Amino acid sequence: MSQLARIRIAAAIAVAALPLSSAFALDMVATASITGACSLTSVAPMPFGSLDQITGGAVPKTSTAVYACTNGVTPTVSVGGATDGSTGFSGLLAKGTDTIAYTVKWTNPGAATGFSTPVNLTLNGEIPAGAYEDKPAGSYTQTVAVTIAP
Amino acid sequence: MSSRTLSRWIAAAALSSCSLLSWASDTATMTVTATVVGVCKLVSVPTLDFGTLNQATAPVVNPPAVNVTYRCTKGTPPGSFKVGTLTSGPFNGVLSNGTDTITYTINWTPPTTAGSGLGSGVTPIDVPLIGSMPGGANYQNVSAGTYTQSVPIEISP
Repeated sequence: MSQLARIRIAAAIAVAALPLSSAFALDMVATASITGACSLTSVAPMPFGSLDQITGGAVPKTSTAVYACTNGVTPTVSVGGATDGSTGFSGLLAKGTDTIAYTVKWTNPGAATGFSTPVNLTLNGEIPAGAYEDKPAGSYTQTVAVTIAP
Repeated sequence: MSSRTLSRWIAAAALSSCSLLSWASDTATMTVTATVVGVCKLVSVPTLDFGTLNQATAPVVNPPAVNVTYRCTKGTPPGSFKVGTLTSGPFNGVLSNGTDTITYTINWTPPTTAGSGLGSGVTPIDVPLIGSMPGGANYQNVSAGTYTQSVPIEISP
């Protein structure tokens, strides 16, 4: 083989050894997070109305809290710091130093199904018999914090 | 760094950031109200009994006073106390046996004592009613029998 032929073969091998492309590939990872959350849409007042001292007896009254939570989240409802609806919250309506005791109970909620499905939670209030028969006339009130937490 | 190694690093960073996320809660307030209206209630209204009348001597009859009792809302005094339709005495009554009649009067001092509550443990407040029946011809010539009249008693705050 002539010297020229050797050079041509060597050049051909060198060209064949070069990569066909210089591209470099990596996977891109896309992520998102859903934070378990709850929101209260509304909490209705609980007006027991005018208490009839002549007939006496327990006075029931309900209120409704509307909430929504992340799908699958079982929320904890807190009324005045009480978190177990079966034992409930014991409150005191006040007019100055005079008070009228009452309770609020509710059914502890199950898992939510998402923010597009608001849930009505019934809050069952009751002024027990004997709690107001000896109280002075006037308006009694209390403001209670209602919290829903995932 | 290989592409697989970089992917793992990014995924780990994403998971790490999840652990820093807080769980969101929400709070609102519920206003609870009740109203106590001042009321008064009659607890007992006794019978005013003039007893057996002696037509032979026909004296004025003044039986012992009887007490109507009431309770009112704590701190609430009676606004009015009526015997019949009257807020002050005397009330002029007429007993009847269906044929004959006998007149009498009832006097009282309008009550002003404020109530201490309507609970059963609260001692009721007395309103003495003083009955008086004129003697003589008022009942000296009426027929024998039982004479009665029902008189409404009303109390309000």
